Amino acid sequence: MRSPFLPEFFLLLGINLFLGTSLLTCLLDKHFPAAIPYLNQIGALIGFAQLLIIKDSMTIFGDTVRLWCSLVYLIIVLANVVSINVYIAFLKKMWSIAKILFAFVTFPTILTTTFFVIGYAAFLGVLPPLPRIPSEVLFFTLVASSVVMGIGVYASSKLQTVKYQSKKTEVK
Amino acid sequence: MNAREILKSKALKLLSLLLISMVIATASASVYNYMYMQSLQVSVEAADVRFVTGTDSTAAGATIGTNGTYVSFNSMAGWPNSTRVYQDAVGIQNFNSTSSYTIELKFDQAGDWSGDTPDIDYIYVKVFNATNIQQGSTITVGSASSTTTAINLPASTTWHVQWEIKWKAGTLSTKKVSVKLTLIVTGE
Repeated sequence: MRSPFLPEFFLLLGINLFLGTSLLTCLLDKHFPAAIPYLNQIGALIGFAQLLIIKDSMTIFGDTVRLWCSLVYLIIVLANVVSINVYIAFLKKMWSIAKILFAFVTFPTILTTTFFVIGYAAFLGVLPPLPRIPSEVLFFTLVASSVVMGIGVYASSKLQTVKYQSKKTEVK
Repeated sequence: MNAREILKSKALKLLSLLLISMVIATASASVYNYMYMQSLQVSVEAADVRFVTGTDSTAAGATIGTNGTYVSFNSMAGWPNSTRVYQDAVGIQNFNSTSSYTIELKFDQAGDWSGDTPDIDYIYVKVFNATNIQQGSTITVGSASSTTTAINLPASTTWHVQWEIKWKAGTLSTKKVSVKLTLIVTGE
């Protein structure tokens, strides 16, 4: 059976993550050393060079070597993303920004990467295959997600109103 | 440096990084795409499920075809008014040591047999595992779409195919039929 994607997909994912991190650190340049965005760009360039080398010597490298090269690069990229989060949280002690970074960058990045790695491992037969969700269930999943999110929004807004009213009463 | 100049320098820095990022992302995606297209070449590989000789293959005149993907029987003969059984006419082996495959042996359509078919009382084909337990259903030759049904052949396992032939009473020894069965392997 044919693989859903090449092992170099992890390399491509890593390059894009490096580029995204570079732009993010440029936007938050007040909190990072000036060289960080450029170092991330260099990291992406190294990944691109690795991709070019593998492309020209696909027959020399076996599938295993190609997979490990790409996985090691992806692990380095993930370590970079986590280290940026750790830098903001522990060295700069900016907890609120660190929390936002974790929620919107670090966690989704790790989740997405894990999904692809597990999917590929399942294809190789190292792990059991991922469960297949029947397409008929997808609509109900969408509705259920919307309902749960709606309840969440309602509950949090209600909590906010209660907090605001209790504050108002304290002031009086 | 005033606020406007700081903003301007930051915007320039961001713009340059954005441009470089776009170039690297596009170039790497196109290299990946090129590699993906290159790997789409049609290659050759050995079939995991192949025919192998059984204990009655010689008696049945079985010839395993090149690469084990087909088999033909040249000296199978039945008796009139009595059933002749070739218990292990041919084996079906899964050469893959890790993956199991779903197989289905089938008499597909009425045109898949010819000759003196009215003189045949029945030809049954059955698939058995190593402990002689029948797998799937019995194939009745001559009955279109008669099949063993989909059965799971475990990894590194050989099953054998049994033929049961009975001609009608009084059939002359000059009578002959030709039969074609199809082996469908899913997931290879």
